[in-house]
Amino acid sequence: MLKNILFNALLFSPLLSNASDSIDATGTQAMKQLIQDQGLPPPDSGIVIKPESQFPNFELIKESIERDNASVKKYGYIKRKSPEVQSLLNFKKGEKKFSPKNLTATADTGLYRSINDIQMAYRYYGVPASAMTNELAVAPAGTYLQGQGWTGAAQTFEKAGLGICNYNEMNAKLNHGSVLVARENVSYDINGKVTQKYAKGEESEGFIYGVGWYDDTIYHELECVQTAFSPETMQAVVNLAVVIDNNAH
Amino acid sequence: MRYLKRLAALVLLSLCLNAEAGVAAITYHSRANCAGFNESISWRLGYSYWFQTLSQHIHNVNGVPMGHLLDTGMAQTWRSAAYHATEGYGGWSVIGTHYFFNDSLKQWTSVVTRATDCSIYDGWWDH
Repeated sequence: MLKNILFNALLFSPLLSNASDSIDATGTQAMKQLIQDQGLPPPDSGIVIKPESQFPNFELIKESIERDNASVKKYGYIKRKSPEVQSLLNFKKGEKKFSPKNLTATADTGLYRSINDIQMAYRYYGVPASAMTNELAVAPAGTYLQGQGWTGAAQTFEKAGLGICNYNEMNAKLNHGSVLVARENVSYDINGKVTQKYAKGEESEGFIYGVGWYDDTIYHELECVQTAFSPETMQAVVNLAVVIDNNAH
Repeated sequence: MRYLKRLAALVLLSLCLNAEAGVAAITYHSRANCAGFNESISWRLGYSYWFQTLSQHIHNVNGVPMGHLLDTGMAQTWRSAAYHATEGYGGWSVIGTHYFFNDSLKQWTSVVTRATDCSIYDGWWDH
């Protein structure tokens, strides 16, 4: 339900409560107050770790979180269908339409053949060529900064022994971003950085293995799909994430 | 105004249709002064996610920033739009704060977007 805050008969209200307030890169004092009141992570607040029960809107996600936690305890993975599984398993089927190289024009959110075809707002680190068997596509992620380019991108690639993977990298500084992670799901597997991982799927359709890891500048997420579940595959995805992170320096 | 928006979308769609637009990753955008609306959007075509999008629509009136804040609330959708019609005829700036809850990782991320113009990013507006 869309709420219009500070709505009045004239539609508009002053957005600053006094002259000493200001509108900075992330917005008005009124917005910052709204974010704080809802317990959402403020822009530019970096990596925040909290118990799941202290997540914003917890009442909306509580049942799903509890179901997933019980599933992990019983099966070792989140027993739930995921559209990403079929999307990645079938990525090579059908003809893809690629956008042309686009380094100056208005942003296009389509697929590209190479990261070099996308106008990026920073030097994209990505997956080193030596860590993949075959790059399949690249797509913009995050947001487009006028005159600068995209603040993130996702690479889809094949990795021998791991199948089809997708790596998403976002520049937290350029996004004025923040990340709030569940204390119950934190490790430090990727070069000592805050790390989260999961496996999700069903035997009838396949499994997705995901790893997210974060530092002050870059938020990374790697996903790979396999038809079967095994803890060894999860470890192989973590190992690949370490290789990717080593490249991001 | 909604019909005008759709007509403009169809015309532009014919110029830059990209069947793969927005299918590979979540993207976030704000647009301002779109001849009748301002908005902030979070989207990925074909996938339903938990999003919450907040949008600040700011217009300077005699040097005083006036405007309003929109909040979609948290909802599962492929396209979270904090959209407001009957404004955006010039002089507006929009700042979006976009939240995404990844229910597999159990993680919230945020992205801030800013706009003072109505740049077209092909994809979300034609759906």
